[in-house]
Amino acid sequence: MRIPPLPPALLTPFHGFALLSAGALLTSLLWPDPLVGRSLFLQILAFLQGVLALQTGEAERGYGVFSGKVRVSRLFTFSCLAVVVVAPFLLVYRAETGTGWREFFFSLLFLLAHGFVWAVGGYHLPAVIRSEGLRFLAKYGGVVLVTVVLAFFVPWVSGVFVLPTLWEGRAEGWPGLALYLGLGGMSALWSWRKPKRS
Amino acid sequence: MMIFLLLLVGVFPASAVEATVEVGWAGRAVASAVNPVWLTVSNPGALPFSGEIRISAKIGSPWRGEARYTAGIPLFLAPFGRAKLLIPWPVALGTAALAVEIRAGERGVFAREVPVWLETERLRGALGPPGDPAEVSLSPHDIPPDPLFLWPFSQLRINLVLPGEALSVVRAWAMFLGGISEVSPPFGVLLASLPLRQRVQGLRPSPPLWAALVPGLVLYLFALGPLLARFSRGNIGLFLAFSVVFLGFSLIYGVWQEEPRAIHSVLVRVSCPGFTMFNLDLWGGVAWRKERWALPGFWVELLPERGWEGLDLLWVHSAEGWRTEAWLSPGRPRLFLRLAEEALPFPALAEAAPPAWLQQTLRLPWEKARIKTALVREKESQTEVFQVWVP
Repeated sequence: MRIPPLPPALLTPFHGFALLSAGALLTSLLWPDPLVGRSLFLQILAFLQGVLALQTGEAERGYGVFSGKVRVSRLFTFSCLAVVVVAPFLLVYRAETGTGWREFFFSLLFLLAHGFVWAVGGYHLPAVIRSEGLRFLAKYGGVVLVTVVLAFFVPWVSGVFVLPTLWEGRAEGWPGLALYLGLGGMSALWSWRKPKRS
Repeated sequence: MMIFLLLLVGVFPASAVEATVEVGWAGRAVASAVNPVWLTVSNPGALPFSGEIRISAKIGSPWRGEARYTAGIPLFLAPFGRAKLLIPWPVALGTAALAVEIRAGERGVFAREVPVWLETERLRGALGPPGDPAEVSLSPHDIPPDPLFLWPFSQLRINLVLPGEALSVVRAWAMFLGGISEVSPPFGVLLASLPLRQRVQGLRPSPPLWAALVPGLVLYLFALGPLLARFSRGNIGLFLAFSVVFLGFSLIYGVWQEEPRAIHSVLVRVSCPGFTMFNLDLWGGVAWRKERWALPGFWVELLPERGWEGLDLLWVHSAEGWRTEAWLSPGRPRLFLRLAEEALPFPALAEAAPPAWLQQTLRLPWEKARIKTALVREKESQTEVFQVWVP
């Protein structure tokens, strides 16, 4: 299988994602309160990944003419790429926080599913909201609403909550992982069966 | 005949037992203190009873976070037998009732919810003839074996001569739990848990290897920029090779940096030889992974202001006495206290000056105190031990 090249429009978002994630890692390791430092990097990472995934989906919308199957695999590849870019940081953070390998792999799985679901959302958003201004608001407002605001009310939908809980091996993270895996699977299936479009 | 009796025990292993429960001195339970729970259990049946008493209570609130305390005590009763048990029970804010259950194997034979009316002020008591009606009157027989039971009292008026062991218990309560009485020492040990909590929270296995981490991060980001650009032009191989190399470096860093010892802790023992046989033990620990923690003895948690979620505790009684068990969550320090008579198996301790955090944790005449310290490394844990002798 050929790995699709990264669309040039995504170059800056990926650079920004890597830079900000590295900054978040250093900030977390330097944070004076270890309790905050243990989850800060993951919370920032979940938020940044949501933003990057939305941008990825939106950029994909105007990129080439592909079948639903190819589109899904492209979105999944770029979601994987985002995880690969920050994987060295996660490996360092795993050692610094003493998390087990099992928790580490579940967290990676969640990041993959979380990124893919947001990327699919970003891909379909222009079809739903035509106005660019409204779309801008919906895009970033949506990611803030779901990952930050809902973390207080429906925590298992928020990556900011689910990722640190999976990292610590707490059972509260499982519904969130199941939700994103389920959503990812369903959206992949739905997009897979869609006819060819730009 | 013997076989027949054994068969009878097997067929009817658990007849119903009867129990009465009383919480607190004179039925008054004081918050943030260890209160006595008197449990009288009787077996009205003609067969012996073998089972377990399970006591549990919720502590906290949705605002503070909620946790559950549980105690398990084995129970053996002869036919028509009766037992009166004295169980220490730390009552914390949010405790509204104690659930007492007696089980024979999997079958519950007694269950009752005992309401707890919390008093926020500590009690006043009198040993001997009562003077003030507001005082709780105690006889020398009421003096418990563990000074923790006297925690609900702020004052004890002593109107009689106490036997040696009871005197040691009352002195330990006066010395370590801030009690006032005729046998109080000229100074007491005042405990402030926050400095110890901060000290324990700051115990991390080893700081990040900044000399490797920062240059590695800079190099990674420096190379990632152009390689992602090449990726977007279709040259993927170099990016993949670069990713594999850096993942390898990170993996080596992680394995190198990973701490084999899961629990890092501090154990402080304060003794006042000649005044009381009891010692104050403080244990504070933090885990780097989720770890099961167990120590012999009845340990009470020094709770933080908030964040009680998950601070569950289990006390198990056996032939060796009490054992305290808890889960330590990663990065979340937990502090425990007990008053114990037995010696701890300390290694060679070296004379040392008291560290600032210890002086802030324990207010005592440090200019007169002697302190020795040691670092105990075991397979799973590392403990800083401090032994303080107060003259």
